[in-house]
Amino acid sequence: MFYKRSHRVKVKKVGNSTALYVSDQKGIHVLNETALFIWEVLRDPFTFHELHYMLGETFEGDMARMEKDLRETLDLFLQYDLVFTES
Amino acid sequence: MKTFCLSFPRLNLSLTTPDEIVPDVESAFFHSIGPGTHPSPHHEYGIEATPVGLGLFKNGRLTGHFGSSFELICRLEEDIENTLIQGMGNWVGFHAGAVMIGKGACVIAGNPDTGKTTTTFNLVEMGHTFLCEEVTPVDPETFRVYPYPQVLTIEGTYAEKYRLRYPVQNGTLKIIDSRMARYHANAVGSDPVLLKTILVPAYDPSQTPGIEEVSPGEMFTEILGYCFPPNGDDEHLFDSVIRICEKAEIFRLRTNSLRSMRELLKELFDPDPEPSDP
Repeated sequence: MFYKRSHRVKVKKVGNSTALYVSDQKGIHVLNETALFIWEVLRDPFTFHELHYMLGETFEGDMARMEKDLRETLDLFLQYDLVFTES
Repeated sequence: MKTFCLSFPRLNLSLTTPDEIVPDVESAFFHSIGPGTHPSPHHEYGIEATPVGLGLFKNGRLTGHFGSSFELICRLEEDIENTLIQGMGNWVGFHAGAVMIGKGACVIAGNPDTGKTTTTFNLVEMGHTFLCEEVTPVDPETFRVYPYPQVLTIEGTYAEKYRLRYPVQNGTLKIIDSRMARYHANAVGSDPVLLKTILVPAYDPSQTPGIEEVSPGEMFTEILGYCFPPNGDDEHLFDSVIRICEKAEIFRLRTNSLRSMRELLKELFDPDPEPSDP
């Protein structure tokens, strides 16, 4: 299963941070470091395991913790229609 | 009967009131009463004595009955706030107070009971010029804050404590009961002022007091939460608040007492006061 960016997302710069929103939704989301990395990488579609591998190559730390952070971030992205999945 | 012309940012109103209520109206809207009458006010308010008390009318329609002029004026203030917010167009309406510090405006935003109004009150009593209470209109194109200088409503017990510790010198503080006191600032800013600072107070008796400078990215979504719903689309509000956050310096003010608030405000805005004459 591949994660893909939604084309409806608009990206806003807020100082040094990045925020995302979908125009028919009320919320706007400022990304933390992990979420920004995942969003940037998702210029192309990737699977969960590919994203997990890339996180591990980029950031130092516990891989189990990274897997949990990645799962939470992707769940939020899906919840707010920032990304969608495709088989 | 007397008719007042009330002027607010992008909003002109008329208010016709029986003679016996005139002093209360003058006291509540002192800084917004203009000379003469508007040729075409946006809305016409009227107060009439009725067998069951006082009736408040808006554009000829009865909006409520009240047992006292105080209750009626509190309701009228609220209605004017809502009307102001609806009429602001593409401006951003912050749920905030504001004062002028030097040549710039300081917007004091936050959730209820975090010390927003008491921060405004303390800054005015420290000698800064009062601009806004409850609603702070900001033009996101020019970054100017438009004065909306209404009466400050603060907790009665806080006002009692304040009066025991400090003199009230830049306004009139009237304590109604333990729950409520009303503060009328003597002087207010009449012209729009360039936004310089956003202050977010956070009162918690168990925390260590301090000032924290925060970045636009850290504060953006929180500050967005202190805005009234936009009259236009959400994207315009997002873009406006982003620009405002990037333009302003933003501080979180962690206080745990009246004294700590006063000391931190002094540290932030008056760090090197002129030495007094011996």
